[in-house]
Amino acid sequence: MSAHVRERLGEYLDGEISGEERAAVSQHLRECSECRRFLEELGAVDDAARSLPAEAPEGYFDTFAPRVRARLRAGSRRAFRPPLWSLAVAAALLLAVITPLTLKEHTAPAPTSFDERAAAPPAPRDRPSSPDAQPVGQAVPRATEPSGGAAAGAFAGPPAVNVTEARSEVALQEAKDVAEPRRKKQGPPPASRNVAPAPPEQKTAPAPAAPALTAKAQDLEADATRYTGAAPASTLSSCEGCQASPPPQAAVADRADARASAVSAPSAEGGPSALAKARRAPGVVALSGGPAGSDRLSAAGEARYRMLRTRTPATAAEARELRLEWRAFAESILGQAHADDARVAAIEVAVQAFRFSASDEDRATAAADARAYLDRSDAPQAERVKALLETLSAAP
Amino acid sequence: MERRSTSTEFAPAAADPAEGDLLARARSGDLIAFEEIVGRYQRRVYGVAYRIVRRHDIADDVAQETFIRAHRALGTFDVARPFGPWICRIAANLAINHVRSPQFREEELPEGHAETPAPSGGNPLARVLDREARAVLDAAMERLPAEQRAVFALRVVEELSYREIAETLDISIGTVMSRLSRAREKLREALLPYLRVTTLRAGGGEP
Repeated sequence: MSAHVRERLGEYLDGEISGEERAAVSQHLRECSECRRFLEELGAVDDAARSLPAEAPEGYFDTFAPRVRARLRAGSRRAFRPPLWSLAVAAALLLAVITPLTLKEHTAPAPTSFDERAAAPPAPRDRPSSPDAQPVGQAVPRATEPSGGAAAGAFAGPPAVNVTEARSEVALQEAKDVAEPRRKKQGPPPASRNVAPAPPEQKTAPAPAAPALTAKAQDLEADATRYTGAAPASTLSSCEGCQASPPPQAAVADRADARASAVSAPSAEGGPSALAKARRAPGVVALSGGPAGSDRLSAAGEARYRMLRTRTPATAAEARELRLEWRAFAESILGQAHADDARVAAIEVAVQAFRFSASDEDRATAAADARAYLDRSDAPQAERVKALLETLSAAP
Repeated sequence: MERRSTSTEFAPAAADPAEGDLLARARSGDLIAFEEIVGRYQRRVYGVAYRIVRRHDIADDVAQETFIRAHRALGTFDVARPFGPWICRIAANLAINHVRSPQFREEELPEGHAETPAPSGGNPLARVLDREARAVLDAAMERLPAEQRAVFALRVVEELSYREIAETLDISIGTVMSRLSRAREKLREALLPYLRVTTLRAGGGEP
């Protein structure tokens, strides 16, 4: 009897049994000290678990709603994106096909080195996508192959100047959209990928082929609507042993999504689109003397890295916010150039937050970050971080 | 804006006619109204997410995404129903999906929960539970499979009924019960040394 009752004590505690059964358990509890103790322990575990903090860093909720708003605004513009995208892509393809024909009449001389450089990036950048750089998006290279050849051919052709123009036009058109990377949810349109090489977040996108795109969109719609009302049991398929089913992937994409918006959200109106331009036109970045040599990090990553670098927090809240962004960024470029710098930058701003606020919480956060870094197997800047950690403990 | 007022944060939605109005406005595209809703539920949503994913940065992602999804699906939400459980469902499902994603597994780092500073006091139980017990419980929580953690969090913290949890996670009530009891058993075992030494009932619901 005792063992049998014991199994039901959880339900008893939760008020999930009633009537006679409940009375029977109560009766048993009066007689059995062991079960009484077990019930108390269950209650204590619950209490203890409730007391565990699930607290966000100080000030986090002050900026939460605005960040959601920014994403929602970005999202509502997205409604216009599919047509825009297809237009841009169609225009680019058209240009790619037509310009060689028209230019032939002018018999353009051999391309200058500028042209070559401008036209070259797409090819290597389209595929750097080696498995180690893109752990999740295995589908990316595959999706690129079929049309990749065609596009590369077009770009490599003689009229590089015109093609460059076409590319920057596309980049401009796309720029509007990039501040809202929600597109990734539907997978980047395959054709456009050839036109404007991949941003780093792409690694998380499943990158389906064109038909899969609509399917994915529908999937997401269903995803969004299925949490309604009574939530019929059959619709919430994402929760039970579905390792291989789409939701986890979608979640991964969502996450990159969230991060990217977190970065673009705080910028002013002009900010995102400038960043977007940089993201979409890696050729420009490469030519403008950026560290194009950091082969692993895409132009988008570079742009974001530089943007984050330019930000100087003036308050503790800003420093905390920036810390989160650095961390998110570090995570989004795992194993690539600057990932380590980003991690250290996050610690630096965490320390700054403490300098501003002098609060124990900020100190604890910064110290925890620093220790976590020092625990890493790869910690090339351990000395610097140790120094930072020391400044924390030295502070009053 | 008074979105930080904690009193409204955990108020049951259905009991609040003003909230129905807010939701209706949000549904018709009023972003200000929706932001007010975000303000009311952000802590709760974040809490659900955090208790499942156990990392601030990911909980942040999940919490934001939860509201984005909720906003998108608002048109299909029955305003007469309580909003809290509904949005917690979205959060719980997104959080579980995150935990299951290969990327999350890859990034799972031991430092994860060190990011959350211990509360600076106020909670009576926090005072009773010494640091060590807290760390032990935290570690035990970390070891639970996300599915068990989710059921446990929805029951113990969100106080959803078994049926509500079953609906939320699309599992049977039997599964809810078995996951819950497994989770509790593991946590109890981990805490046992502390449970037996100190009386942890300090903050518990004694009459």
